[in-house]
Amino acid sequence: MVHFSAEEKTAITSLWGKVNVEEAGGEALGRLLVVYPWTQRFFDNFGNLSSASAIMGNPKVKAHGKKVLTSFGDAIKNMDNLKGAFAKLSELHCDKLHVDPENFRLLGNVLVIILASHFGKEFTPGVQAAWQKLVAGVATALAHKYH
Amino acid sequence: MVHFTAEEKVAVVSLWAKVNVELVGGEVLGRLLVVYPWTQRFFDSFGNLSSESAIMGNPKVKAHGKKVLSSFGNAVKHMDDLKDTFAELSELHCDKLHVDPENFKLLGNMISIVLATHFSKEFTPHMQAAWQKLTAAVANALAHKYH
Repeated sequence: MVHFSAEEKTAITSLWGKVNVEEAGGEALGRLLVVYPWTQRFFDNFGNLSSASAIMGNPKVKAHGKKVLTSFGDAIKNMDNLKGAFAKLSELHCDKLHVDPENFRLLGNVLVIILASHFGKEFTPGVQAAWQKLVAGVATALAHKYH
Repeated sequence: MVHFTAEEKVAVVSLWAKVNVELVGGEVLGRLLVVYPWTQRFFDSFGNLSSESAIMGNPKVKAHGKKVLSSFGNAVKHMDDLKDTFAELSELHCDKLHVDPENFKLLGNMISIVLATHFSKEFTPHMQAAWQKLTAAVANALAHKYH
């Protein structure tokens, strides 16, 4: 089980307190679809994904991005029990959605980059390290129920 | 061989022109050592790497970071011929330095993140995609002569 130090938890929660989940969520999912285009296959019914601007402006991408990042907010409230917190979502992504768990790591990477671009210098090396540990922990938790 | 479109080349080159190689290089290498602490094993002779602030302020880290990123500048000038451009460095990293090629991907991630902190909104999804493609290709080129 991943263990977060008190410092790491503070670094994560204090930054999260300043995140606009709706905006960042849409941007995270949008960038995933732009930078790793094969991920678009999971979103056939989202309409126009034909260019970077179409993707970033797509209302379904924004709405779903917000939903995904809100769920990430749950991770932050349950950093000591990520596997438990994400058990059901893990089953869903395996049994119903058939998502390759590697994509959870890609989404985690994209989230780190967005935080870096939003927070600039405030996204210090220590804060970055804590967040990378968290996104890796969430990716692992989401893959945990795969069979 | 990786092929870069004209748009991708423009995105990479235009951003690169604004990069302070000395500053960014030190930050990239510093963050690598903080976020992935095992990479410190390659830099035993660098002195004090005992904390985040020690690493980020360490003059040898800054100097070597500048050297590494300057070499990356060659990649930007030779995007159509990365394997040849990095052939000698690949042999060096395998035969003399014994660096696990996975670390090249980690350094590539650091470059994207530091560019995101510096350029913020200017580091658009399209820019991010082009840069991630370049750093992945450089990582491959650096691994190419491994045996």
